[in-house]
Amino acid sequence: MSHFVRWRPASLRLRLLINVMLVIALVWAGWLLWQTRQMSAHQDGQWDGMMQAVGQQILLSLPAGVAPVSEHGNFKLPASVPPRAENLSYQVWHRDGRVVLRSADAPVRPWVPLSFAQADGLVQAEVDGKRWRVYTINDAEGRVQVQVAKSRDVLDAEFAGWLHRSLWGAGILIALLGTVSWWTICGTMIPVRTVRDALGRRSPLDLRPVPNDTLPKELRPLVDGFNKVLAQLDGALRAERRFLADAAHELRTPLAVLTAQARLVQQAETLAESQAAVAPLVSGIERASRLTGQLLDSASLDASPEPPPCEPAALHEIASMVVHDFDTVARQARQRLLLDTEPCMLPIDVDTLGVLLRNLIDNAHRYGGPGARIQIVCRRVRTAHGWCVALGVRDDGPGVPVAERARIFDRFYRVPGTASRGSGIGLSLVARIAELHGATVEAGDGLEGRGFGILVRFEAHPVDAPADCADSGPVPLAELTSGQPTATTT
Amino acid sequence: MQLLLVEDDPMLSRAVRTGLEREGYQVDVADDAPAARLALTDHGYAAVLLDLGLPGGSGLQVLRGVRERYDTTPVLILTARDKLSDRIAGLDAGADDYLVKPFQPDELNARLRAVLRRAHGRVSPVLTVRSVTLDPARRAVTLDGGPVALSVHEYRTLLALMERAGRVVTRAQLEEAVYGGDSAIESNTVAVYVHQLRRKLGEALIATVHGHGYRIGEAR
Repeated sequence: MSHFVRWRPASLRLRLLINVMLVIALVWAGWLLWQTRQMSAHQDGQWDGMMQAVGQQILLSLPAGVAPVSEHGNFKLPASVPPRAENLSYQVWHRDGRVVLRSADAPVRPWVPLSFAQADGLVQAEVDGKRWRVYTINDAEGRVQVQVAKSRDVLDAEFAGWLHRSLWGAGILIALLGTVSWWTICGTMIPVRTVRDALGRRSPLDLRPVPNDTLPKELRPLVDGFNKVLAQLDGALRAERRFLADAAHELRTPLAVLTAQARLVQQAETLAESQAAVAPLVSGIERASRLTGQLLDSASLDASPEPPPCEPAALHEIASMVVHDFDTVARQARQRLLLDTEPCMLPIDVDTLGVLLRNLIDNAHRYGGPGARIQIVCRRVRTAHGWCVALGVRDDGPGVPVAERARIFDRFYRVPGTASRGSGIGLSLVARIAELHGATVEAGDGLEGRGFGILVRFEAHPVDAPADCADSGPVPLAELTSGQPTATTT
Repeated sequence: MQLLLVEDDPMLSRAVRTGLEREGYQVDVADDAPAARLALTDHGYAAVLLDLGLPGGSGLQVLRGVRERYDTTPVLILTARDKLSDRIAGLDAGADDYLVKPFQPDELNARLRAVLRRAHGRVSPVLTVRSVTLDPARRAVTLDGGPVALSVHEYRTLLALMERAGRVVTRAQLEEAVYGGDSAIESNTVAVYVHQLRRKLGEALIATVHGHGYRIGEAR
């Protein structure tokens, strides 16, 4: 049963047809039931009336002195006239129990035992295994009784014939209706097939929108939604192609530089010459390996599930771990790393957040210049609705012009005129990872109103207000939140 | 000072070995996991430089094998796996530091020095202060007999304090214990780790000596 309930044809047309036909059959069955009852009542009423009329006429046409007759047969119909099935049978009985008059097909015994107590009446009777409907009427003095009867079997056969014809008629009509409905449904569904065929004929990477101006109202939202997805795919594919082209260019350039520098080392004739050529070779290698790392990060971010699997992790530990990696390079550039944290537990994806932090610090290290101070902050900050964890990296280097700050999160965008050559991937990674974490990214001023700073606020995860923690040092919230952010991405 | 370099790429191992030898270390090289295991059972190395992706087994398994023997030889992981989760797994398995390829020789030297300095003077008997015990051989900390989970940094902070129990340990000393000193990092993280240790081990365990640093246990 449950199997039956769950069964649904895959074809919408078939489903529609089945539902329509089911409704029609149900309505018709209800109508037939009602009609049958009506018909049966009507038939009974009609025949009862006829039997009453005939019974009374017979009674009235009998001469008053009629006497019982002995059995000597009836008249016969001429052979050319067939007996009518709907003829009524009757008997006229004398009070003394003998028959006065009797139709040919009437039984010998009275249908109903003679009783003169009641003037007339309609009853069902059974005689010799045959069922009858009988009308009995007595004359005023109670001398004779007329019984008029109609065979129940004939009545039933008549009714069955009517029912039979009705069922057949309805069956043929329903079949006709079904065929017409099927054609209509198929005709209505033609736009669906048109769309399907149009999509089927497409080449694999054809992402143009499906034309929808001629489509019916019901199909349009579906095709519109489909077109929207196609447009998104198209955008993503374009971005990937652009990225691939850009990345190829970005990788080939430093490789070409490396080859050229290596040749110079090879061709150097003095030690001084070869050492002079090695320095740019080394920095070229560093640039290429950094770029490779970022491209790999970017690719693995593209391939990672969305949203990333987030588990509660200690953000301050992660910050201190990543900062530790920059210890040596910072020392080489005479930069100071200031790590200012408080315990912050947050549901994050540790790996992508590591990439985010690494890129932020790398950026500050690269553009902060020699001797810069770079502050890495992991603290709770106030938001419009309460408190959230914020991760900030700020420096006191030359900074980024206010007009450029909005664009630095675009992939392969470089601030014009910067001395240190970056790939333009780092901050776009930062923006994407922040977005994955439901965090906002703000670019603003750096330390003491100089330099450049980026603040990532994890506003999707509200935290409790910080309790006073004597050991974690002064809370530089004023610094963190002051300085009008000039660009915001989410 | 004798080091073991476990690295399967011959070009890289030759370069790293040459660099380290210039710094005055003696370097043995193992190029797969079984060779590394064998070398580690035979010799007492000052430190091990361990690659994670090795033929014949993972470097992490080698590391776990070392730590299961209560061998506290400092281990510095050198790997191309740059995911933070890999690093956390490495440190949790008992590595002393983690360096991602490609690295600069200077960076390797600095990290190696820090690891050796931290290991130097590490005491192997179990340290006990009040109801807290710390077993350096197993890197295990218990409070009232029950194990306490500490992050690597918290552990290093606690170890530095317990090694000098009863004496004041300055922030600079703690920073050196956590990061290996001589660092460009200036941070309040030591205070954060102390805060976390107090939360996990009881507020009264570590006393703040204002203007100087921290002390664990009664003043001597």
